[in-house]
Amino acid sequence: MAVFGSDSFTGTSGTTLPAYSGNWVRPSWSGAVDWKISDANAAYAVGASCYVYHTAAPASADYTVKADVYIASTGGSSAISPGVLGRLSTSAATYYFARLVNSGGGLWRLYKRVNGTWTQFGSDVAGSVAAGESHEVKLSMVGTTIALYKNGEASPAITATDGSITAAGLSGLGDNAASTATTGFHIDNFSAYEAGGGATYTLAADSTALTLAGQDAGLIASRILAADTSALTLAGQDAALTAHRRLAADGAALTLAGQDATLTYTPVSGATYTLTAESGALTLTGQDAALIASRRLAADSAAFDLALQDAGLSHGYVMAAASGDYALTGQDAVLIASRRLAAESASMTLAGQDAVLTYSNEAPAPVAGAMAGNRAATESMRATRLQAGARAGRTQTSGRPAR
Amino acid sequence: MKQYYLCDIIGDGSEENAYRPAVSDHSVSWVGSIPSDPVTGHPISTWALVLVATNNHAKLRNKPGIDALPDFPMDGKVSAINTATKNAMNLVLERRSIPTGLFGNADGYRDVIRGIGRQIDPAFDENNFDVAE
Repeated sequence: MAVFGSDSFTGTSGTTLPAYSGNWVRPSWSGAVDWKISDANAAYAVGASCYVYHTAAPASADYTVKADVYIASTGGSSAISPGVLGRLSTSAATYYFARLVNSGGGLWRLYKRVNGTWTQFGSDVAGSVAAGESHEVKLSMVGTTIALYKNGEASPAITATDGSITAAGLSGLGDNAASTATTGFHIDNFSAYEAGGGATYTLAADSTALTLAGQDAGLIASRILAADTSALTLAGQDAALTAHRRLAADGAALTLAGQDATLTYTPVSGATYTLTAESGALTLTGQDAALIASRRLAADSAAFDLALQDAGLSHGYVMAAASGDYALTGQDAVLIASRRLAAESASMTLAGQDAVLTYSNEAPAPVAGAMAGNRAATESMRATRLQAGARAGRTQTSGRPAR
Repeated sequence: MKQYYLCDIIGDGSEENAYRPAVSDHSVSWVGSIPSDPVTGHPISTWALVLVATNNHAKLRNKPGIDALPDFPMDGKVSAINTATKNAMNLVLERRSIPTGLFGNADGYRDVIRGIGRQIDPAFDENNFDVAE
């Protein structure tokens, strides 16, 4: 999703947005008041009917505009209601508007305005407006589907089907009452970006790199996601990779990195489910990185690596490391297998403070294992058969947990 | 639970009193199409077809400007709707100058809903008309 306009309002307090940057223009149909830079590098409206648009033009009429509404202080006029605009006309008061209203404890509202006439979509959605809070408002416009998202939620709070405004127009900011440089409601972290798309069936990168990057980058494949002989890279804050069927990296690296990076493989009933890294590395790193496979998770002849704080590896059925090493390290590292846990002809290592190895059903095949670390523990609901294993550390327990 | 309604459009088009269907003031989730005149911005119709999602449809009963359409499966046959219900719905349609033949001539209930929606929006598609519970 290409960002075509953004601003974090890093400027001198009291400067009007048009003076702060030529990217901002007050439309002719707005009130004769400007948005200004606040004391804390945000923006605020100085009066009623206060609008400004960003001059960056979107490539199409399908795009998203979002910003953070920061509550500098509570109280004030109930008409304080900042938000983001899309498909804005510079010649007439026509636009879609997603906003947070300073009324009723905070209300989310979605509107269209056509030549000055207002129509509200959906009912008010309750929000929160406590001092010091920051709430994300997002306006999504794709075809005739207009939606308001709040606070980064995956599902829209308000949705409308409307064909009144089809021209791409521009993005912007609006409010209907004054705040000040230190009080009221402020806007920060404005961004406008093209609507995302994605492959419904096959997404491939044959002999070519496949890259998806950027804030909130999302890659969703409902059928086959493959990177034959090529690298598949997904990076960026809150990057997510979701595959509902087969996810493979034959002969190539599959890398998912970044804060809160998530790799999810969700089985679909009746299909064959496989998450593999044949002859390639399967790597998942980053704070709170999680790897979840609901069926078979294998690393034939390859290394499995899950490291870092709160690293988690969950597998609902079989977890194996045939001829490969299993390694799970890091503070609070957790390895959970609900069925069979095996490490045939290979070592299985679980190390680190509070490392826990839990399996809840059949006992594993005899395996050389190592449990080390402060308070390293093995728990089994049946029996623990960690044969020929070396144990070290201050506290170790095995067998059925105490009741 | 979801149900279709015919609602009067209320409001005056100002920012403080924006146009909206009458159900909007009853704290329910709804989706509806309110096409606007491209010149004036005012709704081209005095009523709107809305799909409401709520666990308490009873609170919308007998409210001014709000008429419930039969709670009936979209793929059900109009012939299976009892006569009293059909007569009540015809009165609702007549009050809004909507052709009552939509009920009398339709095979499935889906055809009725589609026919009502297309009275004000030729592109109305009941399959793309949904609201979250």
